[in-house]
Amino acid sequence: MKKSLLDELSPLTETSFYILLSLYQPLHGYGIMQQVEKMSDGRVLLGAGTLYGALSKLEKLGAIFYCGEDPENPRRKIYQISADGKRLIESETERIEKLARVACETLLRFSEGGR
Amino acid sequence: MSERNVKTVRKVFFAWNEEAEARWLQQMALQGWHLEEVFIFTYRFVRGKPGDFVYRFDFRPMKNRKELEEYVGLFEDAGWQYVASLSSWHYFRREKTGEGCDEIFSDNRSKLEKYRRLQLTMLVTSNAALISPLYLLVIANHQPIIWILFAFMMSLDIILLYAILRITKLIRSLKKDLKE
Repeated sequence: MKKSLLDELSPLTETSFYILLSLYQPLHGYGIMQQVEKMSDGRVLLGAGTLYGALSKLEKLGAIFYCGEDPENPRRKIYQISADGKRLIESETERIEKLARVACETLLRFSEGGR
Repeated sequence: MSERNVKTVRKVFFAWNEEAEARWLQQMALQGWHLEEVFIFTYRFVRGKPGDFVYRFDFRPMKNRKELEEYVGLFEDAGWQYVASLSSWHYFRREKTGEGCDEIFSDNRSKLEKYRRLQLTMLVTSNAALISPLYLLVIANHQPIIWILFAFMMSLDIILLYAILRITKLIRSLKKDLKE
């Protein structure tokens, strides 16, 4: 289960990465849009169709789970990240950290060599 | 009320040139005709205040009414107005304000997935559409009416197969964009 989830979603697209990060707290679709916009300093604006599709896929693969509807608006479904989803974020963050480290080292080495 | 406030227009658009359909609907809205209902190759408009509206279409089969309501709710939260549905096609519009996202798909991957859903539905339909005329021949042979029906169904199948071909071509070109 955990392995197939990683296979299907890794490497995470920027869209899925931000959606999963926003769901460390329970949120409905519109809340996710606003949260992602804030987290990315207004750079990532999720299209409604893109978000709807991403939520269906992440739920089907078990990375997020449905935790009920908004009591004020029953059309709004609330989601949250699952334990598998958190593991996925952790391993992806490790991968990106390593990538960033290698990139920094390379940049540093070549800028020193250039002097 | 001397002026007509509703009008129905017949016009043919296919899934592979929906940009043309969106442009036409935008032109109609600029003249004050706002889309109200969609039928096969038929559009019904109501007269209103002219405005610059962006039209977008999604293809997504829905399991039930509740699922459609939640789906529409998400689009409305995001600033879209739900216009109508024609089978699994859903029509949305929003006034051009420069604010928010004018697209319902913010990445190429989700745009591609829309056409994959369409392709899958068409493949399933074409299977059924190919089998039923053959079945017709088996149950009642050598009757002229059956042959006419058979020819009619086969010509529908040819159109459907052509549509599948066009959508497959579109998916291939979107895939190329994804790699770049």
